[in-house]
Amino acid sequence: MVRVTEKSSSSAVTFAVNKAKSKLEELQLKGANLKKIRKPSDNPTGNAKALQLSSRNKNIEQYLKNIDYAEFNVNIIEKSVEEITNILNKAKEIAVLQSSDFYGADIKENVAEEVTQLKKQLMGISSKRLGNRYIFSGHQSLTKPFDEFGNYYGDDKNIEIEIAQDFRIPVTLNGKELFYFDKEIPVPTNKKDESNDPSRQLASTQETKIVQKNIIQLVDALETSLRTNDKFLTQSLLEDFDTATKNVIQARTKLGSVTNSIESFRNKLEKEEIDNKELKSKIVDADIADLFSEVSKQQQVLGTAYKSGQAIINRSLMDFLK
Amino acid sequence: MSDLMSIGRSGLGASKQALETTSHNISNSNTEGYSRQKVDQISSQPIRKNGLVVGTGTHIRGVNRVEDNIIEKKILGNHSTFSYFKERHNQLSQVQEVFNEIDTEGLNLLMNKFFNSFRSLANEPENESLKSIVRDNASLVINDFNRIGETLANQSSSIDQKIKLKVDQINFHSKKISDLNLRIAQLEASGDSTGDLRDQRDGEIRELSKIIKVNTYIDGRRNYVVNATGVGTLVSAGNTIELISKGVPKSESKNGQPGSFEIYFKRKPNTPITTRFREGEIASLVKVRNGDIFSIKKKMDTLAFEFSKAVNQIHRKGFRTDSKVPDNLAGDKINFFDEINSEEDASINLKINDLIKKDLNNLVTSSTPGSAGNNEIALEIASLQYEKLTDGGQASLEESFLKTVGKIGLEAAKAELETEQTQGILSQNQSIKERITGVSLDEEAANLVKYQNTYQASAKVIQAAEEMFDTLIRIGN
Repeated sequence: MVRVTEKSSSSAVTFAVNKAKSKLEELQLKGANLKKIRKPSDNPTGNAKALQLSSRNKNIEQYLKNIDYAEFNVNIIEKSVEEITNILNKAKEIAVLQSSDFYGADIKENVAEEVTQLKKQLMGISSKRLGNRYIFSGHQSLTKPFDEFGNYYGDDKNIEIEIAQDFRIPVTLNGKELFYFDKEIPVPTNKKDESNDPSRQLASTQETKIVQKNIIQLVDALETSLRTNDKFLTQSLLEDFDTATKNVIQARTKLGSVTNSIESFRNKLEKEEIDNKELKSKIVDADIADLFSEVSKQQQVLGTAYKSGQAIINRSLMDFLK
Repeated sequence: MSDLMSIGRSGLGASKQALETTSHNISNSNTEGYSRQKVDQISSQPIRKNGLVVGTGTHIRGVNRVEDNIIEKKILGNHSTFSYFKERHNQLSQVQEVFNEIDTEGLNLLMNKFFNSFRSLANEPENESLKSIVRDNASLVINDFNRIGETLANQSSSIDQKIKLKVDQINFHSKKISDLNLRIAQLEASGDSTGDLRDQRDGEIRELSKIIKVNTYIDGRRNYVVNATGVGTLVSAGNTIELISKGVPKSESKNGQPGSFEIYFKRKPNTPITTRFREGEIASLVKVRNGDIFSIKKKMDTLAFEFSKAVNQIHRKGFRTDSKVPDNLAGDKINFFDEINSEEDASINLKINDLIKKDLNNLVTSSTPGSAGNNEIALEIASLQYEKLTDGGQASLEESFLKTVGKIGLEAAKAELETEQTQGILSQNQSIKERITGVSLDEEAANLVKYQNTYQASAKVIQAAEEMFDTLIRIGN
């Protein structure tokens, strides 16, 4: 038989009560913020995983923002490209109509006014801005891409942004890509004439070289041909209009593929975000049902500890010796 | 007849002594560290009378405390281990609070924001307000690196203060033990009871064993010796060997902090004994300071260093979009953070380059001169988030940081568990000891009745002797 002393029994009681109470306190804290993990030591690996997941979700948030931004940009570019296509079509129609002697010089002069308007529209589109960025200047985004003579001041780069880890998409379409198209031009045997004026080079020789021409210059040339009533020049431009239109359509296709990848990444990222949130919640959040059943269990333990303590502490032989 | 008287008187005296001891036990039943005392009662030497051997009553040899040296020594050891883990848990809980990001924005989230603000800037490199967001987020990262670095350094120096305090306490307890040694020796020489003083001495040794691991023994000359395990003798009979603690310069300190405290014997002030203590609070404090905090701080310094180096390396490749080049710079090689030359204290020394602080045009995004829309630099800095920059190219900044946080959490959890376990063992042994040496009021109540009865009976014996004496006297009348 063990000796039971005052301190051994009272410390046994306090130990039991303390243990139950500290467990209840821990549960209370968990219940107060509904979290299983309150400090790293509660679940060292889980804590690190939770932090990693929150960080990953912050990245996804940013990527989704970037995707919205990219979409906004691409939409605006797409609209501009559509407008350019329309202008090119109109200009080509005019060129076709005016490529003969059917209309006289006075009418051509009037039509030239129309072309001037088209050119103005084109200039307006080319110098479109998003915020303070010229969207057709490539990386030279604070420089107006074209002057009225059709000289290009931008570069052949595009601004790319990150819409997923290690995945970038362009959100601009530089003027070089959109406005310029390749043109084969015959080179005259006398090398001194290297000017851009196609009318002079047309007749001279069979040799050709490829130069880049742009839409603004093309429309400009159309206007000149009308004002000078030069039907040969107008005729020579017809092919250029086709090439230019083809080029613009190509650029549109490229934009379409960007839009597609934007959509697929948006879906992927949104799904991952939800998965991550779920996983994080599993690691960090307390299970309420579990919590409450545990609370009531500990309450019972505490009650029992009190009762048994009462039995041992309050009684002694002294009570019975009279 | 006089024999009867003296037998009665011896019983009276013995039971009175026993009653006194019983009441001493009862009144001390709640005294911390009190061991119950017992009268050591034997029957007196018998004498030969009329050819018969007859008893001569009772005799109290002494009042002794009930003790169990084996369990007491176990408890001393338990105190040392328990205090070690308790202090370790206490310190590591503070360390892990520095890295607790469950409810707050900590370094990991701030770093994340920093990189994502570069992604936002890459969307619109022409937008100055996004540059100022990048700069603000960089400041937040820096503040948090500073906070972590400084909190860890502060904790180190608060540990130093604690070590100093604990050394003073060791000296205080040593002195008390040596005083008690002397008094016990004196009392024992005159044959007096020393139970209460021994209880006091045990109490002092228990306090000492919470600070450092000690073992005690009686040497060949019957001197009571207290030995600090791994270090040497602290008390021998009436002599104490004092310890001192003092701060050492950074070059000598074990944790890279200036003024960190080392412990010495007072008479050998050049040989530090700081790391020789086993278990107890001091060993725990020293290990947390020189080991855990030191290595975490170093890790944070490495992270800050690698981080700033990598960002600078990319940022230096960039160009301002205007043509203005600061005169003192060759080309546009602008650092984002002030260049840090060594990893040491990098987490505290991290700062934004003043050029960027003053002029956001110096925060560059472009990889070619004069291209406002070029965002290559911003994109490249943002992708540093995934780059394996640390641990010899094995881990990204985040992975490395989270590994560190995980390690701290694990150490804190381990310390918590060990604290609980050692506390369990300690209280188990304490209750074993308590059952042997503690006071049971029931027992004492029974004793009270028992000795009271003996006292009354002994008085009756004297009364009987007196009556017999009276009878004899009356014969003559």
